[in-house]
Amino acid sequence: MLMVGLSCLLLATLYLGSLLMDGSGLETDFSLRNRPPDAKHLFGTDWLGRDMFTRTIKGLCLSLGIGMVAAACSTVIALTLGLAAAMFGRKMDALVTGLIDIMIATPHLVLLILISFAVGGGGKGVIIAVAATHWTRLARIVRAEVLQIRNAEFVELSKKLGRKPAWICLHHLLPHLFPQFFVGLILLFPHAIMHAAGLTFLGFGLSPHTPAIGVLLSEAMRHLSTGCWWLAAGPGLMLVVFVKLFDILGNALRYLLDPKTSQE
Amino acid sequence: MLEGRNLSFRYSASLPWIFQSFSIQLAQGEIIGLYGPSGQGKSTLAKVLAGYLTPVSGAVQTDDTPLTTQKACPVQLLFQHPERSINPRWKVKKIVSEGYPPSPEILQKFGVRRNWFDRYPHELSGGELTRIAIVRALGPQTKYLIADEMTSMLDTVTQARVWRALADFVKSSRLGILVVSHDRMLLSRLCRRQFILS
Repeated sequence: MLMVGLSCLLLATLYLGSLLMDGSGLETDFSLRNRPPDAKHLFGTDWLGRDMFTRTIKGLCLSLGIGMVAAACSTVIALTLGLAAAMFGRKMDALVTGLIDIMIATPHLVLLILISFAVGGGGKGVIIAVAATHWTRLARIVRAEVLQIRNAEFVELSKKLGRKPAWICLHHLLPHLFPQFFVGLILLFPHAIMHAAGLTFLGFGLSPHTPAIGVLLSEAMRHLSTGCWWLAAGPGLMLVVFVKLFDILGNALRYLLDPKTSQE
Repeated sequence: MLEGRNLSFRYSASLPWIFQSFSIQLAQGEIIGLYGPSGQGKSTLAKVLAGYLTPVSGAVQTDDTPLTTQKACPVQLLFQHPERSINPRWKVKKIVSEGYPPSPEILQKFGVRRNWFDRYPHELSGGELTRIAIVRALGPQTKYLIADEMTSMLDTVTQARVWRALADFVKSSRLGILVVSHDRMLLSRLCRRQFILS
């Protein structure tokens, strides 16, 4: 519980922090080039004298935003296709399962690069690429869950007790899907952020002036050999920490939504 | 009168018949038995009589009308495994009142305690879940109950307690019960008549 509270607090702080920060740290100041971390510049400064802490916070917030949109799109695709596969007969099922297999069989990063390149790169490219490639696992789970519960004894019995199909869907089916769905969304989130960062790092994503985590890390690579370790350490560490936070949140949620553990 | 006339069933045209031309009658206020060794199609017959499966030929009728599929069914089936016929994500309060709001008397008669209402099914034992499933099935529209090996998972003491409560209930409510079991002792204690499926 403590960990969950702490995670939420940190995420809120990150968001508020990036809102409150003005652009002052992002301006170039050649008198402050390549400073190692100190009290005034927590993560040091880069070769143009920009404050790395400000850039990291802003970048992380942008990356989280991209991750959120991409993860939300992915889950909607997953839910639609998963439900369609389970409810609309054999042909639809074969079609969706086939599509999932093809998606999984293709190397992930290659697919990401191809899609983001095809739609013109940039922030839009990253979001579309991540959203279009991350729905497969969740779609499989949704399909399996619906197939399983549709024939469950308590669902058939509900009909015999005089309940209407819509009521059964709302009270039996959806609550059963909800935990899988929500935990899937939360756990997709860090995936999406990492891939957004990865794409940007490889140069297919956001433009170099945007302070996204991937851009920061790819720039830092070029300066590591000159001894500027803080350029990569700060943003890299923050990325790991925040991705882990989502992992904690997702697991805590699973724990809460499972009736076997929720009353402990 | 619940009546199954010349019932025949098989799961598909390429599979063997499970039963053919089987007839059975159950009057209100009566407890009758259906005996058969394992794997003879007792559960399938129970599902056909309760309207879960449609017979390939023959018909199931209550008081000369076919079973309804729109409203609550007058024939209710009690399954062998109560934990499978209960949504594991619901609390007991929602489970017992899925079909109708049960009165305090009926809850008390079957020993369903109020302090279970806030619990999840996995926090109750098999006997307790069986009683919950019985109460859930005894809605105002229910005229016939088909108990498919309902107590075979329970120990003898709990078994006796459940059946005593149900037999009491039959006297006051004119419910008709078909007891499906492979346990001849149980059937001969409970039922006046027995049908045999073989």
